[in-house]
Amino acid sequence: MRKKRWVPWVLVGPALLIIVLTTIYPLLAALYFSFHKYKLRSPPQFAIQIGDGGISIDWSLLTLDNYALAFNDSRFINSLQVTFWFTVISVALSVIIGLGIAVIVQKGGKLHTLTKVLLIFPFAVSPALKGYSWRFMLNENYGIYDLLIDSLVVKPINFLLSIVNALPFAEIPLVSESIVWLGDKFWALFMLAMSETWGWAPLIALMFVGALGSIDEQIFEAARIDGANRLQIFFRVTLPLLRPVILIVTMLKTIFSLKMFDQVVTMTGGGPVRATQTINYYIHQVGFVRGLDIGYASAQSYILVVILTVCAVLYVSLVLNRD
Amino acid sequence: MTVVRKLMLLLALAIFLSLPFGAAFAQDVMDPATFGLDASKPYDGTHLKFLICCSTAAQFASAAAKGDEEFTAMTGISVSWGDLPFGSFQEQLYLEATNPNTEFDIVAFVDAWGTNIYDFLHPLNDFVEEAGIDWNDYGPAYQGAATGNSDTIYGLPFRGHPLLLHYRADVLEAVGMEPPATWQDVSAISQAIVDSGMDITPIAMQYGLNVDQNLFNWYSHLWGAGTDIFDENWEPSFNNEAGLAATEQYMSYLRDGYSAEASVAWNEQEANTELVQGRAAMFVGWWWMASRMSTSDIAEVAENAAFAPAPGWEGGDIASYGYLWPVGILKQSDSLDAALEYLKWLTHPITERRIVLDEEFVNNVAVRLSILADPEVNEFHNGLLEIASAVLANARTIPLIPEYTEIIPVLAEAINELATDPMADTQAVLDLAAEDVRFVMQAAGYYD
Repeated sequence: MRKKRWVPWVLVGPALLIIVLTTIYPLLAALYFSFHKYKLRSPPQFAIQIGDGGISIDWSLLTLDNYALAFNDSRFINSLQVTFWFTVISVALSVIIGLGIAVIVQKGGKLHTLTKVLLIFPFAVSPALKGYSWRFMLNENYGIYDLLIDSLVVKPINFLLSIVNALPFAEIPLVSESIVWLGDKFWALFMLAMSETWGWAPLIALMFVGALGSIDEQIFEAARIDGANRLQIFFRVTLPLLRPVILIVTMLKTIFSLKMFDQVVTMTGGGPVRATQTINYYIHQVGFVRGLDIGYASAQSYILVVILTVCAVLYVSLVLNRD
Repeated sequence: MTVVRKLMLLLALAIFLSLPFGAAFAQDVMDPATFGLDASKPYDGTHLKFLICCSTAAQFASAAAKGDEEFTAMTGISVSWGDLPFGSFQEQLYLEATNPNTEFDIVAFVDAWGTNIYDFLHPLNDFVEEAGIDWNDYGPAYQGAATGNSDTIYGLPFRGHPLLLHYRADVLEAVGMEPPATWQDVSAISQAIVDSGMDITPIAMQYGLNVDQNLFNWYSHLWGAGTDIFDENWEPSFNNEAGLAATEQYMSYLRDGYSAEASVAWNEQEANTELVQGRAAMFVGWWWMASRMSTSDIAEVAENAAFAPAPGWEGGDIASYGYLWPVGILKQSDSLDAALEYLKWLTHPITERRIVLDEEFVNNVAVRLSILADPEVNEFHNGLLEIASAVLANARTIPLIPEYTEIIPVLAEAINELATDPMADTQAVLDLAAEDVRFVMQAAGYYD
């Protein structure tokens, strides 16, 4: 029987249509807008005009000004830097803590199974709510995290320092018990990254648990017979075997970190000063809150796309070369 | 006749006599003529969509409930209120107002945001005249905010806030001080509270960056010291000598230890919570927050809740920000006439008065001068509206130009930087902000 070539197209057609409408069209439209002076508060004047006489193009309306402006905009450059550091901190913390959790809960047993089930909950919390919760929990008067950090970290450290300071000539300043977490540029960015880690590390742990379970036990047995201790087994056997999963997890988390937006709005408002203004947050401010400058916001978005593409290509080629 | 019988007869008589009056009152608010509405219901069946945030706020909840029950019965027009969180309200407002196919007819907007959507709002001048709306029943600050300080009325004042001093009467009494009339008095009282050794922070300020709320009291300082954001040529003037003095005074509450160190990250709700939970003695904020203090769970706070006009400047002006939410109609609306009918009812003094006297949704927010001066309303709210009226007499608007929404974050960040960096040079930070502001204005063509 002759194969009907149109059948596959009919089957994937609806999905393709949805992708074109929701992804391809906005992408192309944003690219088009990025070459125009287009603010929401006034009627746009686009280069391509469709009139009674057909389609005409007014080249004078196309401009590179939005791209030029971005490279002279200290706020945009700041947002690139903030996003970079946020990504580094949140990816590193999420992967390391996730791996640590996975190693602890990978063993069998009812308690471990229950723990694995519970691990998914932080990831299920909406990012905006996460931001509000963390802001509340970091409040120095009634925040549980502030209390925990003071009780479990700051006070013990100060206790030890006071013992050291009892020695002659020792004058080490005590750690402040009143750090305003969201009022300090470093701590605000760090806590923003922690709020992200809080949701992601458990999910990453579950991915690592799956990967750890797939490693043949005989490999560990062989390492033990060869005299390797636990640390050696972890660093020289487990980690290398987990490398593909670590790579996937790191890439996934990097993509999500670069998109950070919700918690910035609800937790820090981009502050203190501009310390937590990520790219997405800044683009949103430019496009929909402050100048309503869709042209400029689109140009910024495309600069981000270019940077991401370059990073991704470099990253992937580096990994492939090593392999 | 027994005493019980006599009492029952009296009661029956009282009920009988009160019936006509009760019926008359009920008829008033259910009579279209009371509000100048068209009794023939020409828009029967029309459904209006109202873009607004926070519809659970007492004032809005009361208006929405009364609209469903009364306005719809009188006109046949139904109105559905949006309920956006405040955080996403501005963005949604812009997107809907600029959308040619928006489903919304009516919008409420914060004064500063309105500047970006003036071109999309139906001018209301003719409506105000034809409907006999007493425009002079709104104070100058609210008139300015509703018109963008122009001749065109873009919205009718709907929700407005003066800044009040919220304070603990017992604390001020303990240090033998009267409520501060000036910001310099605030410093003196704060020092007295510190000296007294009382376990309470003198004042809760909001220097955080969230939603730019760290500018509200800064404006009062600037205007009081005799300067403004711009001079008459639209050049930044907040960094001149008076601006520097104002900003130094504004930051002094933090730097002198009168406001908690954590206030560098607080928004107005968090600062107010310090007062409501008994950790601070003073707070200067919008009057809608007054009920939070007077209904505090901490008896000591609730019993000593007191309010006064926001402080002015020693030897200078008394001026503060009169913050307004006008309500307007989008040009895209297909139901302009029905929407105008709704505005007539929503902003009518009778409706406003009933909302502010509503015992189910307790709320003190009114915008008309006649309501602010109403003895019964003032009795219901312990004189709060008279205090507000005094503040509004000197209230001002912020610059109502579209570019100001781009300038606000520049200023808010400068204030936040001064708060979070104790080593920051105030003049240098203000100068840098002025450069950024100038850049925005230059790009908009103000200096051509």
